[in-house]
Amino acid sequence: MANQNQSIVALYTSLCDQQDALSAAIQTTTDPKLASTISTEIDEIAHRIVLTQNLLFKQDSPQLTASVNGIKTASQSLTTAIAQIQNTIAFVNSVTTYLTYVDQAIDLAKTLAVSL
Amino acid sequence: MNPTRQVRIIVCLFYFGLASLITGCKTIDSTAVSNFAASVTDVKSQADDALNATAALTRDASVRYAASQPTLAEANFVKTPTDETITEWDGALTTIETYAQNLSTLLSPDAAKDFDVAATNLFNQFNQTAGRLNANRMNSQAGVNALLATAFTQTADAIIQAKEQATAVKIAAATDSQITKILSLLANEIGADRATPGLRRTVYEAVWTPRLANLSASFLTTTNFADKLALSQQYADMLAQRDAQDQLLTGLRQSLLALSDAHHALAQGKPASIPADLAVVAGEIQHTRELYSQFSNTTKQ
Repeated sequence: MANQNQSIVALYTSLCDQQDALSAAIQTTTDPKLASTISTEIDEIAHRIVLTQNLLFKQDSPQLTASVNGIKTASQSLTTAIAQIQNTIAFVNSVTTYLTYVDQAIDLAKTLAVSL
Repeated sequence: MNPTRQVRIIVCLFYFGLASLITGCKTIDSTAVSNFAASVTDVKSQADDALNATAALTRDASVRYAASQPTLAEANFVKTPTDETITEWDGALTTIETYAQNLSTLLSPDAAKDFDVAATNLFNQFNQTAGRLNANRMNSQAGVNALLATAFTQTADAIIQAKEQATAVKIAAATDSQITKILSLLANEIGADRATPGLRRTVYEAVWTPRLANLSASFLTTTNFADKLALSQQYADMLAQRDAQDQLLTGLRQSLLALSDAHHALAQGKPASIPADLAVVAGEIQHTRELYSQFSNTTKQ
């Protein structure tokens, strides 16, 4: 998350630290009313942590998309290379076919030469 | 000089030159690439399970939050990761999967085999045509002919493999930094530990802390020992669930980093460390499946 907007990271960290402090407080208090209040506050902060986490994901999105596009280009190059091999095979096969026609022409020429 | 011997010398020299050319370059192991491609597919499935389970947990947590609000509003029901994030992860891993499968296809022995068949046919046709033209004196020597046929097809095979290798090495090297970036980014989004910004800390703070706090608050309003004991047992079970769920995400993070290491080894032409990296992936996936099953059962109870 090195490239993330630092203010969002700071907000996230602040919310989490606050949550840790409230969690520690609820585990030490013996006052039921205070515990109930802390528990409600914890729910409020939890909701905001989830919202902030989603902002962190959004911050990463352009960087992820850029790298994914790089891989897509490489993948396309591989597809081209695979097609080139198939083209080479097709070329070799076409030369073979061509030579069979050459053979037929030679046979015909020999036949004609004999008959003359 | 004996024609058979002459042909052998030519073939040997050619192979020596070709071997020098190939061994001087990095090569990519086709089996390792194929295993890498299969591992990417497995990690994609692992990520899908882990992210959807996390989204469901955070969604459940938001129901409690919504119930505490003065009005019932859609905005109070939130989850993380969102569907958009899960789709983005899936898209990134699918792209790596397609790339790995293409790399595997390029290096597949079948590609060279097809070329080998075509080259054999061409050689036979060359011979036939030469015979018809009555211009190949070597054709009358069966031994030389067989040797040439083998040399011709094997050379064609070696050339096509060298070309495949050269293309694969070039593309894998160029792609390596992007693969590392993507997999590191995804691993960082999960978080190295529960204290670092990331999904692991989010789930810890937004799901488990409220649930545990709720039990702590209930504990103070109860005077009956049996009820306190029941709450204590729930608390202990919840701590175990929290740790198991955290391991789901930790396992996914380990898999992503191991995949990154495996690709780096591929791109560097160092296949020796790849089985170990992919064994880490397989181990994490197996561990995740067991945890997921255990976690699902515990949550249902």
